[in-house]
Amino acid sequence: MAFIEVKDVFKEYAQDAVIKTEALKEINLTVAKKDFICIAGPSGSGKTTLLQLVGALDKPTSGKIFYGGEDITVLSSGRLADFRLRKIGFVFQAYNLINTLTALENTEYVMLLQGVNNKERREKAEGILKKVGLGDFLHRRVNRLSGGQQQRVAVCRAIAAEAEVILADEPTANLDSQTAAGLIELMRQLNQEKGTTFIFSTHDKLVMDKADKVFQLKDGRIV
Amino acid sequence: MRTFLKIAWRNIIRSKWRSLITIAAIAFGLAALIFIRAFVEGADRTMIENYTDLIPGHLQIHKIGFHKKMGLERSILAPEKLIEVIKAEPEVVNVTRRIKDYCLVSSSEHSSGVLLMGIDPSTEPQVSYLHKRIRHGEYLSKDKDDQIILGKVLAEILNVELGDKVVIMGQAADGSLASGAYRLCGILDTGAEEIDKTVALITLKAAQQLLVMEGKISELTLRIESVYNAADVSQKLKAKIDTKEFEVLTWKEISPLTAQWLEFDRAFINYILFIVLLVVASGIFNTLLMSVLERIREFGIMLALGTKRIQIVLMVALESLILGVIGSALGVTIGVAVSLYFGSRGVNLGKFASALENYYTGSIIYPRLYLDYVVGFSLIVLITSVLVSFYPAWRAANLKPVEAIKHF
Repeated sequence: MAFIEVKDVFKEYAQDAVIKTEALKEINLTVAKKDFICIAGPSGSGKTTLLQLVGALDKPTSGKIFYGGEDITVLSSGRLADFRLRKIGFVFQAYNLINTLTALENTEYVMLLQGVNNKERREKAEGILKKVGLGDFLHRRVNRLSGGQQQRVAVCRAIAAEAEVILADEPTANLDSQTAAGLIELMRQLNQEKGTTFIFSTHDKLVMDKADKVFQLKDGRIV
Repeated sequence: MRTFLKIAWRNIIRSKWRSLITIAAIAFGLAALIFIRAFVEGADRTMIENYTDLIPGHLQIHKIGFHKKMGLERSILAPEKLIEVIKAEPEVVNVTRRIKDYCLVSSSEHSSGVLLMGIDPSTEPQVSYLHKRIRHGEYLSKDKDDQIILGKVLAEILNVELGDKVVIMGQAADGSLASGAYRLCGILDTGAEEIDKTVALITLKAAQQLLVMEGKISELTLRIESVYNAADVSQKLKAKIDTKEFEVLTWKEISPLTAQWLEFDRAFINYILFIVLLVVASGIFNTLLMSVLERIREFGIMLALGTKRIQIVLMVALESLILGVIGSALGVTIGVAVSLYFGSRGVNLGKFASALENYYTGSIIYPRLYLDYVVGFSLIVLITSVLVSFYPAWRAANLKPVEAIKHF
């Protein structure tokens, strides 16, 4: 059985009562556990929309998305929040960290929501941040970190939550090539060591080359 | 909880000016509420105390029906037993005997209708403070029954000075014509025209002789430990004396107009206080809404990561609570300090002195602080500051994460 299955998914955005934009058309996708998958395609091809649907941040206009056999498109907003909390880790192009918190506190945040106790949370977050070279920046507010450092904190946050799947939306887009390569290497290492499933979007050829499978999106369709 | 508290606190710190303005709005609003209430409390209580310190006293006991229709036929025949019962009540400080009747007072030039009061000069000063309002001359003496005190305006109408003779005429209790001459020994100046224009005081003994009331009186006037317990003491006394024969009246029942004025004053001030509270509430509401609208993206991230809507509401409410606690603490400090300062020095309203004298408040108002309303207002402001956060919190909690994280 597929770990994640995207079945006949369409996504439309209504600009107004008359004009509608089809962001995704008839998407069918199967992801197995421990996959390291890349969704590739130019800007506007629907990569972010697809990741948002798989990550339960949004619902498709039609079609189904199964996660471990359960249809997540029918879940209530409360259950979707819980689903995201327990199963999914996000790494966004714009980092999307909580600026008022430090690197350590951002890394701890999801664990806090999961109810992990204080000591365990702190030790785990510190360990992960040190492992990715942010040991000297534990108590620095994230808005005072460089782009690469912020993106590493975002990955740490996803790892610390022990997400089964990490969805990374163009994680290297704002990084220089060396930092980008380091980040992909880190993600790959986690995939292999912890068995975390990765689905990431990119239009960077170097990043695509690191993936096990690449799905090409064009005008909302997998080609 | 600690992390949400931390985020809430950091959001407050992040927008220092906005937070300071909100805290200042809460603090000054609460301080204003406390001071206005202390001022009104001071004015009202001074009014009650000054008013009851003059003629009404805290409580009065008469023969039944006397208050509605004053007359010598409604006299208390043997007041000693009644006084014994009254004095046995521990809250009663003192009691004095009076005779009251409407008479005519004449000088060599003019005449005027007066409320003649026969008072006991030895016990009256322990019940009323009329003796403190003698501006010229002296108070009545127990052994000088040919002396009279007139209100200031009345003395002007009669055109008499200290030492001048005036004649009192009326109908005695036995129906005969009562007439007596008295020498003016003092001028009463209370500032309240209704008293200064109509009151004449002679000794109780002189009044009993004039009106043929040997051993009888019209009224027992009581001073109790606190004028604000008058209703309770009245109930206790009613249980001990024959209410079919005697009426026990509190100062509010003696002067319902004064009581109603005080109630109106209290209601009016409550409206003003409510408006001040609305201004404070709208200030907090505005700040919080701005704060939420500025952080749509941040809330979107939190929701995307699995933060529950109730946790978002909690966080915004916490922010408001923190602002409320700081603002309230500051507001109580300022409000109490200002009220205490003016409570000892007084607020001089000399420009309105004559009007204020008529309302028995005097020209200097001393604000009075009471714990009940200081705590009450603080809680109201605190609760309001949390309540007004619910709409911004609801807005934040109901954001769609996918749209909110795109917001810059």
